[in-house]
Amino acid sequence: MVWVYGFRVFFLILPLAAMGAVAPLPLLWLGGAGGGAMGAWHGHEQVFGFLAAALAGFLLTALPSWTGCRPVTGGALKAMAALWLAGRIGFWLDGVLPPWLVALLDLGFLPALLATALPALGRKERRPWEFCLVLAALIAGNAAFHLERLGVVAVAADRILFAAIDLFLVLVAVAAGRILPVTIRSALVEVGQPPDIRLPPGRRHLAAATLCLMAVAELAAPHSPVTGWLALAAACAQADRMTEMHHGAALRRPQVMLFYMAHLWMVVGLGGLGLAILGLPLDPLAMRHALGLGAAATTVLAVMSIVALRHTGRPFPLPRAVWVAPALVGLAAALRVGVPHLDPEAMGVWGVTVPALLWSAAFGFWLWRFAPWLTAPRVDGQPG
Amino acid sequence: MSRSRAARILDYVWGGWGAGASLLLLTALWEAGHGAYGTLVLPAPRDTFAALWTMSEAGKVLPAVLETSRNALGGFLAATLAGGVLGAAAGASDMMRRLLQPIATLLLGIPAIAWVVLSLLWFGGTGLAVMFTVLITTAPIVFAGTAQGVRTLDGSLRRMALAFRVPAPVLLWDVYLPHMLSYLFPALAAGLALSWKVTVMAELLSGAGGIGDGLASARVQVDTVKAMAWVLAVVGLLLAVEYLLLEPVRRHLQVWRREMPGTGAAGTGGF
Repeated sequence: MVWVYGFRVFFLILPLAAMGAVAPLPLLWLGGAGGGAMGAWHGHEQVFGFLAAALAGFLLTALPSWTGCRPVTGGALKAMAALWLAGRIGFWLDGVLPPWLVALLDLGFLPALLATALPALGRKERRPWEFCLVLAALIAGNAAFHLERLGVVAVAADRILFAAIDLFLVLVAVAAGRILPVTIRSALVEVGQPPDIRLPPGRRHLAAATLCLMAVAELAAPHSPVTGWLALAAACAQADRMTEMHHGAALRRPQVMLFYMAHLWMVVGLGGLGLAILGLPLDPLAMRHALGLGAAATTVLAVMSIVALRHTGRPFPLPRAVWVAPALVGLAAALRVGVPHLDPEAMGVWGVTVPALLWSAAFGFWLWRFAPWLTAPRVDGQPG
Repeated sequence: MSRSRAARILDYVWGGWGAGASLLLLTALWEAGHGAYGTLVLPAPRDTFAALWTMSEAGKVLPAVLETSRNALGGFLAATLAGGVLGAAAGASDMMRRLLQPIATLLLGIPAIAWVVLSLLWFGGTGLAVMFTVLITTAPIVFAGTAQGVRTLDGSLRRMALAFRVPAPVLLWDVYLPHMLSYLFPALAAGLALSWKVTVMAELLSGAGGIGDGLASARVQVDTVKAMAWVLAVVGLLLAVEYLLLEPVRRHLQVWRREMPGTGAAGTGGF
């Protein structure tokens, strides 16, 4: 059953990737050996393991329904999942396997995903060119990450990972542009208001454009004050975009509120990052977690829940249980962002271990609650 | 879909984020310019903000801002009064229009800088010279707007109101004023924007105090940071007037546009 549509398999393995990517952290921090290569490992797994699986599940499901092109199923889907798994295995055995082999195992997945998206560019309308461009940039970033490990290029690994997080935020902004009109309308219907909204494109374009600028600036000059101002501008642009979701009671529906929360995390993360670069005593790495653990993961949970609902033939509203995982992730993010500033001594327990447990609990709960939907046929009897 | 006043105000204030994004992008460009050309050409934004802060703490900025505002608003009010009365006369009477229009055109053609020189000769380096310059440069704009508004008043609408025995105050308030405002407001907004710039220029040349005077002393000291800080003070003043005064009024006057069917709130909120 899980091989009939991309979201089913990738949303099933994604929570496992999420839990795996934080599993070694508490041991290291409590053992007193945090940082260094481990930081790059964790960052890479969250970005190119966890977020990449989310992107795959989303694109393999959304592109066929937007453009009408044929979905990837069966053997091709199995091959995609195998490529993704190969990369994860490579990284779990990092240190045992030689770096070139880890690179080889990890570099197959994203290009394969891009190859499945390219046919949609030939369609007449709603061409996903922005997704393809960002995906190509992510492939280049992952390649650079491995080339650095192999000693071929000299560029700091965290610089690549930070730019990759920015690129995923660009994807969040772009995807929200396609998802929000649908979810806001459904939320308005749920609260008994007429669903006649019009979202002018200016706000989402500004939000995505400032994030693109931010990604480029972080790669070119991560510590320049220019990057700091760009981060602040990007924060303002995301805050401006939250206006799109100001619809009274409809904002309190999960399909809108979760995106609102994600945007709030983006504002906090980008704003804090900008201020940190401009010289305020804020921890930049904590702000990265506001972006990754706060904004990106909340968006991932929102999209996964909505896709799992709609593409298994179920109508809105979302079940109440949809709040649990984002709430746990939000709490984890608040701790990871707050503890380094309020009580740096407590980092090992309250800044890393407890957030890692909350994070794992969130994705464990999501899997427990939504896996039955993903493994069962559509309730309306349609294929897919 | 009509929305509550509080929601509209929230939308408006929240729209400030969009303006913030735009201004911060400009600041990033400014910072890049500083990196490329150095402090003497373009001081760093943070240094400029710091200089403005130091100058405010030393008690230099607020008096200057108040002085400049007094000069600008004094001149602007006088211009509104003179331009409004003469413009109304020109709009109502054909003879007055023939008499005044060429004079207004002539005044509009004289460069503001020439008025600064003349008023310095007439009034000396005082606030009066600055206010006179503002008056003479902005009055023709108000004049033109008022004359146009009065001339295009709808005669048949007036006759209908009279036929229904509408009392004079209601006639003024509900029939004449809304029509007049649609002509007068753009003229007033343009006049107000112009009056700040003319004020700073006149102050700079006359040494009559205010922001322009601060700019002049920064120029003498070849202190680019201080000069930029004063520019920042003017810009802050302009932005405050624009977004706290003019834009809300503009929106209020355009309520009919927002209430048109088929336009959701998300389409109009913000700047």
